[in-house]
Amino acid sequence: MGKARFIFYNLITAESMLAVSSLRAGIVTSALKEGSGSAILNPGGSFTGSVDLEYIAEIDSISGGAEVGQATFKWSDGTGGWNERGVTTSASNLTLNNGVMVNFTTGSGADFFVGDRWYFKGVNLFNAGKMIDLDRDHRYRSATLGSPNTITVTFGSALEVMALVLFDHNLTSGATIVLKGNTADSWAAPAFSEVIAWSSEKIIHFLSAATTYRYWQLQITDAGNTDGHIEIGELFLGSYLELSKNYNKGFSRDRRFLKDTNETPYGIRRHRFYNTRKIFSYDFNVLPTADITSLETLIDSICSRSAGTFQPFWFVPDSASPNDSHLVEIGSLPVKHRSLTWYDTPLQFEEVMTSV
Amino acid sequence: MRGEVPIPYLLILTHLGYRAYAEKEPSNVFDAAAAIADGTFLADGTITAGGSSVGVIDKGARVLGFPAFERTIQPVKDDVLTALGGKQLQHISISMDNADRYFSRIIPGEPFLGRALNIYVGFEADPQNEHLSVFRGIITELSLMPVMTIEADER
Repeated sequence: MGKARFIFYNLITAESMLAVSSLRAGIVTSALKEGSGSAILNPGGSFTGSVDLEYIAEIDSISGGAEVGQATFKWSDGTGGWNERGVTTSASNLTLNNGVMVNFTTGSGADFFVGDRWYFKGVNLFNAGKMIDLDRDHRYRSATLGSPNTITVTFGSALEVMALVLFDHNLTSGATIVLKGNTADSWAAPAFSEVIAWSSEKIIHFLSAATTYRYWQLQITDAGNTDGHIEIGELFLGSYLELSKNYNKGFSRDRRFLKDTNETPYGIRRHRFYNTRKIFSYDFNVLPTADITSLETLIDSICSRSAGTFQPFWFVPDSASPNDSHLVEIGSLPVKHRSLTWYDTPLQFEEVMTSV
Repeated sequence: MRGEVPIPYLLILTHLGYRAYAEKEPSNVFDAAAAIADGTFLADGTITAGGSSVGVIDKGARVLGFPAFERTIQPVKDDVLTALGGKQLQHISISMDNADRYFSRIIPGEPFLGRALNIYVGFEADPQNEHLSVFRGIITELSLMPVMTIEADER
């Protein structure tokens, strides 16, 4: 049996760090208009962007006329500045980017005034960013099964990786999963390559050695997946915390039932069952000050007073059996002084649930 | 999928599109791709356009509790003929999870007040046009507290 490990600091901090080889298309929303012209902007198309985008289209000139086909507009996808200016309005579809198209329907009176503005979004409920939001209900979903499907992670600089987590996935036992690392975004002969053992629904893999690279790629070949796509709930690349001492023998687990129950006066019960939640209690005793400091660092990492966020983390009770792990939330960090520089801390975790 | 329990869910139609919320994450017909003309289906009459999906711009397990519905079709003060054409207009109050201020961030750019709110009950694997509509109304009031309360009147 190995020591317990805490996996809590994901080096993938933004969805812009992720690039996937296949992504199920999203949709383009309707438009919200500000302005007094009578024309209607009609967004359309299948959104293919890797991250959700907020589009703005604004009439920038009516010098050639105020009708559809005469006035021009500028547009932005919200990534900085205007993407294009002086685009002639049209009743036919005009392609902006990422599969997003717009056309205009003429109205009564002047179609446009300078400054007429429309706001709409390109959204994807299954984009790569869903892998790092720590919401188990949200999943990345590919469009198709590739040979392989790839997920490329690009850090700002070379960073040390010791653990990989693939959580809430739909990969089958026939899947081949390989993690690669390199100094460049080139994968024909990467400097690091390690095969990941499959496990149902959740995979927690500790690298054979701490490895530092800027570019990482997960290659998944799962041709026999009957879903026709790969799906991943959470993706983690980073380090882990292992305390100098393991928890005491005699830990406890509880599995609580989430259900509604009614009971008649005769004691006849009927239930509406929803889910079960696991509760874990571990006593870490006689820890040195350094371990308490590490646990406080964990707490500082998962809590943000400025952002108002409180994040779950993965708890691995036995590093020799990493897949028997859970995404959990901690209730508190009780620290009791035992003697000199030794402390006891009984920890309780509650499993983070999914509803799909 | 048979044998599963149907879920109640609500659709809010904002200026940008439909948002679907339930006590659990809505799935299956709520997956947006089903609404896209990507060649998966042919216009051969076998599928009703728009009937097999919702095409939502957002979905999530955000509903903390649905209200009890009150529906009276025969007010006691009316005579029989009047009662047949009369019904009690419903008013509902729904509690939504806003502990992470999710809706507080959305609503300034995508107002909910005055927008349509529909409540359905249905199996997630069934086409949306087979779901039972139990309420159609307009959002008249909401509070952006950690538990967001949406009030809506039937229209």
